[in-house]
Amino acid sequence: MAKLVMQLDELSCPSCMQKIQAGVSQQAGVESVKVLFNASKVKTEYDETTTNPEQLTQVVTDLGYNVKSVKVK
Amino acid sequence: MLTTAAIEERYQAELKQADVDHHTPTAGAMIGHIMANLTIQRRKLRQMKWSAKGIDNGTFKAQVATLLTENDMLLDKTAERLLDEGEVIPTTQAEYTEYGMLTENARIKYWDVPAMMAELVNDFNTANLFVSRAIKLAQKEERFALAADMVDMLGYNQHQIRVLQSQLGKDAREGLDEEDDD
Repeated sequence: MAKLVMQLDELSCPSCMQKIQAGVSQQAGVESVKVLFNASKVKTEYDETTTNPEQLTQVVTDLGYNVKSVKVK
Repeated sequence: MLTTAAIEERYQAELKQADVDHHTPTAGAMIGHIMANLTIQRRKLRQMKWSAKGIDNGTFKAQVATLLTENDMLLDKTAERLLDEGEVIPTTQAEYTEYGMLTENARIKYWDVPAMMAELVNDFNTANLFVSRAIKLAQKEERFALAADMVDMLGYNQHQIRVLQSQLGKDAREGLDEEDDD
């Protein structure tokens, strides 16, 4: 299990949290997702044999949010 | 009375503006979310008032009854303020469902009083995410009366959080703030 932290541009509305949470958690291989509103971060745990940081970042980008940086742990 | 065509024209304009406001949030749009949350919270409060059981359920029910009265006052005051500001307000269940973030659960009626209290704490905390954003947006838009109402609501919600947390034996912000250890 790997951990990924995505730093987004400032989230303007708390309802964005729900949208991102739902979008990322629906991806195959994603174990958990936590969206931090004030920090504008998405933290996720995923199975690296099923998905990868590029795919997960693309999900968030496709939802309309700019991913400024990613950190894999 | 407006004609059917005129009503439809106004409603379509409202939908178009709502879409624009969602992508570039305005204080009005953010407070639409707040109204939706208040509406959902009203149903949850009634659910708890009707269902609470246990040795201190009478005290809790009285507390919830007060919260219900205050919730109604806040919702009306917020709606009136938005109308004063020339905004179009959400009025239907479909809109409240779309804009609200608080979650409902039919199982809550089986919960004990501390679990209900913890749910209310989380709901007031979630509500304040929107309220604090609304304050910043209203100030930026120089809509000072709107900002003042939102500051009052922020303080009211914070107070309810502290009261409920203290009943649960916790400090005001215990377990509520985002943990960002990166």
